[in-house]
Amino acid sequence: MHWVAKKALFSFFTWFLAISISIIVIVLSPGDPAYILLTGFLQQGMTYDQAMKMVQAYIGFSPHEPWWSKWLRYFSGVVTGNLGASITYRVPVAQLIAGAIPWSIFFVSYSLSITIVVGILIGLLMAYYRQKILFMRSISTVLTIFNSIPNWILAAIFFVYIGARWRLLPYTGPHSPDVQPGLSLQFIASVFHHYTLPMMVMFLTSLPGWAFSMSAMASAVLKDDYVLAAKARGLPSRRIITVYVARNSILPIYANIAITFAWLLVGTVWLESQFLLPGLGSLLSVTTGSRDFPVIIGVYVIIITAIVLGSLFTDLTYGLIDPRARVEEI
Amino acid sequence: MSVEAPLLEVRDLNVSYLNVKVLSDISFKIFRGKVFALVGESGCGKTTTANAILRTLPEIASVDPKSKIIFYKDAHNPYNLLEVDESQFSREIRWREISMVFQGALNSLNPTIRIKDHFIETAKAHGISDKRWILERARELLEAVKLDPDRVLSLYPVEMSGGMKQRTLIALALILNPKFVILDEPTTALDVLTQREILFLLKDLKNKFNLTYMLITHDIALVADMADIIAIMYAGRIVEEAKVEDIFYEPLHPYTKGLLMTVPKLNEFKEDITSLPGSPPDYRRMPSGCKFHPRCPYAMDICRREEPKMVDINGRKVLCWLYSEKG
Amino acid sequence: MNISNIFSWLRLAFKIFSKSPTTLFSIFIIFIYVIASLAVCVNLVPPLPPAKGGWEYIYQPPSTREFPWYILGTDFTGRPLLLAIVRGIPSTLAIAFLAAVITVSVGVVLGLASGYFGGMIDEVISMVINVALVIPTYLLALILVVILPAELKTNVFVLAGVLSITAWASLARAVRAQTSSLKRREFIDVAKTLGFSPWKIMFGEILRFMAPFIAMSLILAMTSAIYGYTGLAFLGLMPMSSENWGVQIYMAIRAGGALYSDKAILALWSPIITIVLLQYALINIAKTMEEIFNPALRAGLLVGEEE
Repeated sequence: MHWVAKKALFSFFTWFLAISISIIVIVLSPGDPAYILLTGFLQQGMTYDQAMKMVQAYIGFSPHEPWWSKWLRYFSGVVTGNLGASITYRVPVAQLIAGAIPWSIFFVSYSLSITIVVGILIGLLMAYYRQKILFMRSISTVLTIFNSIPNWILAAIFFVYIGARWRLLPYTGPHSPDVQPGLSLQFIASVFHHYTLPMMVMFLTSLPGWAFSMSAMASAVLKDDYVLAAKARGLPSRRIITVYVARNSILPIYANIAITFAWLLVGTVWLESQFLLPGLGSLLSVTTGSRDFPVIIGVYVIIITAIVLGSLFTDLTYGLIDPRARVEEI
Repeated sequence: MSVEAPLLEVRDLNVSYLNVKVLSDISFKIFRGKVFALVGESGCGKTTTANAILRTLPEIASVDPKSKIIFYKDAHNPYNLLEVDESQFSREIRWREISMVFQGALNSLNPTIRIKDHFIETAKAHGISDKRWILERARELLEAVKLDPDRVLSLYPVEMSGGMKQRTLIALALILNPKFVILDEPTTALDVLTQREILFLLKDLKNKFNLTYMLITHDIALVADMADIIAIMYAGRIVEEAKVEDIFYEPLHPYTKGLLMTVPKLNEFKEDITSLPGSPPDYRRMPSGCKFHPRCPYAMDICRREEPKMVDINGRKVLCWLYSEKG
Repeated sequence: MNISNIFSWLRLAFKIFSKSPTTLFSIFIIFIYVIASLAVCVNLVPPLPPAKGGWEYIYQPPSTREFPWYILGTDFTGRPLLLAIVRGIPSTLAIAFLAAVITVSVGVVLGLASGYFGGMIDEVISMVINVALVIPTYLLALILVVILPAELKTNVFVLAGVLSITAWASLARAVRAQTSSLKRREFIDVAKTLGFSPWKIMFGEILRFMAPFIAMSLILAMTSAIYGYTGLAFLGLMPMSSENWGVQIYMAIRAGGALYSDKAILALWSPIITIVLLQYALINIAKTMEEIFNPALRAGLLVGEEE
């Protein structure tokens, strides 16, 4: 079987198990969502039959089914694109998610691309100038401090100070309310303006990880024989830093992109809700308050799917950038 | 002894890593067309010496200003390599006059670029930007090392065997026509058959291109096959230097005798030469007097107290009290 | 590791720790936190007084009564802020430690078994690890915290379990990789020939090799758990306990008007500093441990010393 097909199949299997096990854990835990929904509807004054029908309609299964039946029903919904309907918004969950995904993807991609570029540069610098101890230590300390600040705390601080109190940057909403959504330059500029503060939070909290990994890799590569051999052959520093050190250090870190993407996606739960931005994260955070389980579980499923697809993509493309990996595939 | 000028003369080379002395008073001459071998256990300073010549020592290394490495590129116009300005050295000397063949089975090639790029970038670094010319030359050399150029040039290092990589490194070392080539453990980590092939190849190339070799190795049997002059190193010092026949038939220094006792027979498995009792000293805590005395079966009282001076016996050199007046 | 080995590690550790001011600072912080926890546990610290609602009680400015507990004023329940924060230390540390222990235990056991036994066991466990890897811990934890009934949400063990639910996965993968490469080394063959049982080999020999790595992972797992525990509280998903620092920050912004007034400013910054100091100290110590046990990095430190 072609190796691409093999990897895709494997990913699909992983995805299937991940979703299934999650659903099963959720329906088996001492807080079955269907049951919670049922209680909620009953409290609103519906009759039992009415309430049961509502639960069925919104989440796809009823509280009294055996766990495997619940799982089967929900999963068949997932596969057909039916994730139930939102109790708060009264629209299909899939529709809500479709509207939210582009924003989250934009947010994460925007932050991640800047983080990667700056992280790699700083990492390379840290490795190359290892001798300048004071310089290294101070950068290291600053990065470690940012590493210690949970992203939601930094978001809260930026929101309160840079946003609400000092009004230096916009701190709520994805764009100015005066601008019409559309493909105009004005709109795009407004969006980037509004996402600056949230992006800074994501950037500052995920930068240390990248800088440190890159620095560690680059330091190891600098000691590698081919770097010493390159110096012996008289290659200029510029070439050594780029084609020898950078290329060989980045390869193992390429896999980190998928992991960081997943991590940032989860981070949107706090960041999007803090800055009132639309997206999967804020959808999730808002609906936890109203116990809107169809949405909650739907968003969860989508995020897992995104993570699996991201890992698969990284896996498949790794061979394109690292000649060593290609050989093993044959 | 002929009075011709050597190709390279190392005089009083002293190197320290931070405040730890790793090379002490290294002096030797290498003559044109000959193979000069530096032999010793790992850590004795052979590669450091090579790095000192090529000026590729690490940042923490400091070379004593009294050291001289005199290069007789033109027999009447020698100059001290250590005094040449770095950019000039990089452009004109490194790889053009003096180059090095590294241990190929190790990681000496960049895993992320093809072989042809290795040749092209080396040429570019020395001011040659004519890709076609350099690839022509690369082709010739790859054929000379018995590789198929069309195939090899577009390969990545990971797709090559240890022997192929070693041959490629040899071709790469010769790309700018140097006359002096340092061979650092050229056959270690290769299988026995490939070792023989590389050995023959090196001899062949030497004749073809009129090369002078400095061979660095801990494999004394390899040296028996290739070398004209052998210098035995121990603890950062040269303890004996003589013609190859003299070393093998009449070793003088106790360390040399010990090394030779470990030469394997034809049908035995090659082993490392650390079957001498004891181990080389820690450079930070060197023994007093002669650095070999703790392991020496002939150690005398004076060996513990004073470091021996180099003694000249009929053109060969020994660093041992057994052969000087005081002993 | 025998006694003399342990002493040389300790001497080395001491040398490295004393060279770096940030590391000393970190150890000092941890020390303070541990002392505080002990003080709370042996009741040297007074219990929280009953909650008092009403504007005249909540977010009061600092005062010197009942020194020192009111020097940060009161929190959203009208109770002394400093006291609430200090009382939160042992529960946070306990949950973090417990979660870290679960993460590391599960990760190490699965990784060892998978790496050492290979074959079918490896295939099965690898599949499990791969599945856990695609499920971000906080995502699943978030959902579980929403659906769990209130009684369970205050249970330390339940919380620890939820916060570590898939956190063991990356550790398991790393341990598996290290184990499968270590098992090919000679000292394992020696152990096998001597008749050691697989369990003894895994937990004795191989684990000993990875002990520093595991210690580091334990500390980092704690920082993860603290992030989750306070972070999920900040989303309003945890019981509104004064002792949870995340809850304090949440309330300072929602109820304390931190956006425009300085009334709740202490209630905003005190828990933030408490959290960040703890995280910083833990991360720094983990980093220094890495320097101690990684010979390559260590050489850089000691070489500079020998000038």
